[in-house]
Amino acid sequence: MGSWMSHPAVQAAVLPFVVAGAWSLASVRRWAPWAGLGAVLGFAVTVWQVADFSLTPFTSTRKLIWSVLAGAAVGLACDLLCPPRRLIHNLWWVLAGGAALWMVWPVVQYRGGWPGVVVGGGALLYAALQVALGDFLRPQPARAEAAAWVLPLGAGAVCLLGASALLGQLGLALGFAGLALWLVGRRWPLRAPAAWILPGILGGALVAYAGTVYAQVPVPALLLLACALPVLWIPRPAGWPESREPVFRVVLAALPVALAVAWTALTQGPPPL
Amino acid sequence: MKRIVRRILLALALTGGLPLAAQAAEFFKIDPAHTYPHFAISHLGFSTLYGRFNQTSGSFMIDWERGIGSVDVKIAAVSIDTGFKKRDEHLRSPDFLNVVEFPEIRYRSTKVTLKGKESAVIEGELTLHGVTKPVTIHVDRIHCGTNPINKKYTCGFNARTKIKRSDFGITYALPAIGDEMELWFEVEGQRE
Repeated sequence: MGSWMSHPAVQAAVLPFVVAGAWSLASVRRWAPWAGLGAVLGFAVTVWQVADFSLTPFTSTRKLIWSVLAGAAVGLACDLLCPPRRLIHNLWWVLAGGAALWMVWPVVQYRGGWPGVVVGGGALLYAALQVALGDFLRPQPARAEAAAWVLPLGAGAVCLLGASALLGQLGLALGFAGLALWLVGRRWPLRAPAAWILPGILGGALVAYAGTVYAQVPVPALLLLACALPVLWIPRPAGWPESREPVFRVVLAALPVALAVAWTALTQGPPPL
Repeated sequence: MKRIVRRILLALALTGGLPLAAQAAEFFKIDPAHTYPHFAISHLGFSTLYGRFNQTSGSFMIDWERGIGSVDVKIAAVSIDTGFKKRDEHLRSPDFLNVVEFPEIRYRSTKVTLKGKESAVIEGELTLHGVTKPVTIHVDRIHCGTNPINKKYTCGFNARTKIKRSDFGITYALPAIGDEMELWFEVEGQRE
């Protein structure tokens, strides 16, 4: 049992998928937003396996982990309290930009000058834009839910190829946990709860950007991942049945993500495992 | 007049003594071309992985008369080299050394005790991955003399110690990749 649990694929895919799926199945018929917490619970199980929740030293990876957990808490608060949409939107992109800047702050300080501004400004813009787009998508659940698991899954894959198995496993965990929720949502609609959408998209953005700054994820792959949300604005083709909408949105989001993974694989080679 | 002469002689005695006291303590600048930290760690229990760091700088001091010294060494974490590019990139990533966030590994002595002419014990602090912990290093094979190539007065020594990477917050892939690491150093420095 112990050796099975220490397999990287189990830690990053099977465990978060099972935990998220079990939680969301148990809670979706009571109240859909609670089911949204399944994604962060699956992520937390992977963190427990491959990293930890300690605060010292407070590395960039630990800041990423705590930002995702905080995102789930903020998302759940938004689901519970139902604040005005404008307030949610402003809160999300400010928090996302702040979390990204916080994550790369040591590099901003170390490099200083314009190089530091580029790294810090890039992090802030990248995360804030992704999360803001995710919030715009929420009124159309099929689009937001596709983004919330395809983006972190792709971010995890490029990080794995870009020589950071740890960042890769964190991204994959969010992706596979989100996939479990997406599958549950096909039977019992979740309606894109903020408790899932915010940490999913924020986590995907942070993992991708961290992979570029701290590992070997190429910048073109980072930019391709950023296209996963804008492509979801493409309208459904005429005559395409509405029941197929969720699958159509997943395929759309997966196209730039697949290109990002392919680019990274071509330039970086196989993963370090 | 006698008082003036006495004062002049006293001043000469004091200033004349200074160079002798200064010579007791010798200061050396580390020669980066002949100084390499090495490490060994268990890989999945199958074999021992050896690696080294290629960029080291710093200084050390030896005071033979008083049997003391000091060491201040800086290692560029990005210079890790295990002979395999993909593994080196992995070791530089947030999984292990996280060299972008923690570019420097540093060891500063707090106490150096010379044991005769050929060995010593260095107590100091190692800063690795942003964490500082006390580490004691055992030195042997100290040898000093004039380098026949560049004619500079050179001191060299070998040193070794053991640490646990988890003490420094590097916990990824435990226990598959070993926790305990052997460290050893071949150091040369030229007198300043």
